[in-house]
Amino acid sequence: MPDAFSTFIGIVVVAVVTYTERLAGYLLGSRMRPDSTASRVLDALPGSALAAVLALAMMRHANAPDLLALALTAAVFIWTRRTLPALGIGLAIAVINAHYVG
Amino acid sequence: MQPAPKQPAPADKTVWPSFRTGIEASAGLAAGGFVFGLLFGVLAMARGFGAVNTLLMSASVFAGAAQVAVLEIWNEPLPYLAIAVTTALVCSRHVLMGITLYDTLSRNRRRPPFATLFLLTDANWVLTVRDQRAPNRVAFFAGSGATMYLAWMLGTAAGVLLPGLLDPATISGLKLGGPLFIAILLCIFYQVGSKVRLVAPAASAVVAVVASHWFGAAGALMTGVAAAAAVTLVREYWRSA
Repeated sequence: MPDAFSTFIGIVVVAVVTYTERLAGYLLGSRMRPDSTASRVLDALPGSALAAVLALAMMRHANAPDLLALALTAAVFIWTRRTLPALGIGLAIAVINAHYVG
Repeated sequence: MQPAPKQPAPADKTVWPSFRTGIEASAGLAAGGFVFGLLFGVLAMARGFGAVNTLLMSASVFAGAAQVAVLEIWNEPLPYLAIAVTTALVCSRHVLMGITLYDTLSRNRRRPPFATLFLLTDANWVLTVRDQRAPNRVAFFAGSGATMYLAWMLGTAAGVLLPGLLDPATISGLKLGGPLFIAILLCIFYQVGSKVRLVAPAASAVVAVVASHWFGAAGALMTGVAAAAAVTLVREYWRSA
């Protein structure tokens, strides 16, 4: 874990970027309307960024129990459309794995 | 001749009723905000973030998906560029939301609601655009946003307290919660719409993993998202051709 000062600066970076985007959209709204192509590209960015972050994170968890937890979490969410049962089953597998497999 | 003293502007009687309407409209969604905040609190504590930093991040950022995403790259030394890029990409939908909110929030208003825009989330954006009951839209937006913010902070505080009751092995297992939660967010993003929309995130994931062999976290992430943008542009070209 980075030291306290680095962590503080990191939090400031996240806060500034997030607020800037909130503000930027509103200010852009007074001057422009994105065309359909720009809208679709902007629409594709959040999911694509999350997919990349997930793929990179799972490189650290590339073992059978963690991959099973991931697959079951997605399957239960798609089936039930409920966050807590989906996350619950995935975390249960991860915790059991941490306790008994290591 | 002395100029007449300036009269204070008459109080806008629509502010508080509209603020209250915003609170009422978002009360149901606030339960979801509480649970999301609780999960973030637990995940951040499991990653060794500490109570003060976890609460500080939730209070100053108020964007759950971005906060969970950056937790996954919060390593020593801290990759500031990767953190900024990840945040910008995950929150890029705020730009589109802001554009669509301009007409609603700028009505009968001379100054932009700079401070209130901090409260922009998916939930109160949907409510503000769709729910037209309140005459003062900025007050409605602030009321629904403040309710979500309060629920989010209460949830984070509860999540910060929870890991103190757990043993180290359980906390170690909970570290997988970040990727699991991102998987759920992806399911939410893509549950509506055609399977073709999955091509862009799939391309992003594959290209990011391949690129990670040559670049750091920020480079891999940007390469992956650039691939997704290219795939989307090619699809748009084929659609219009």
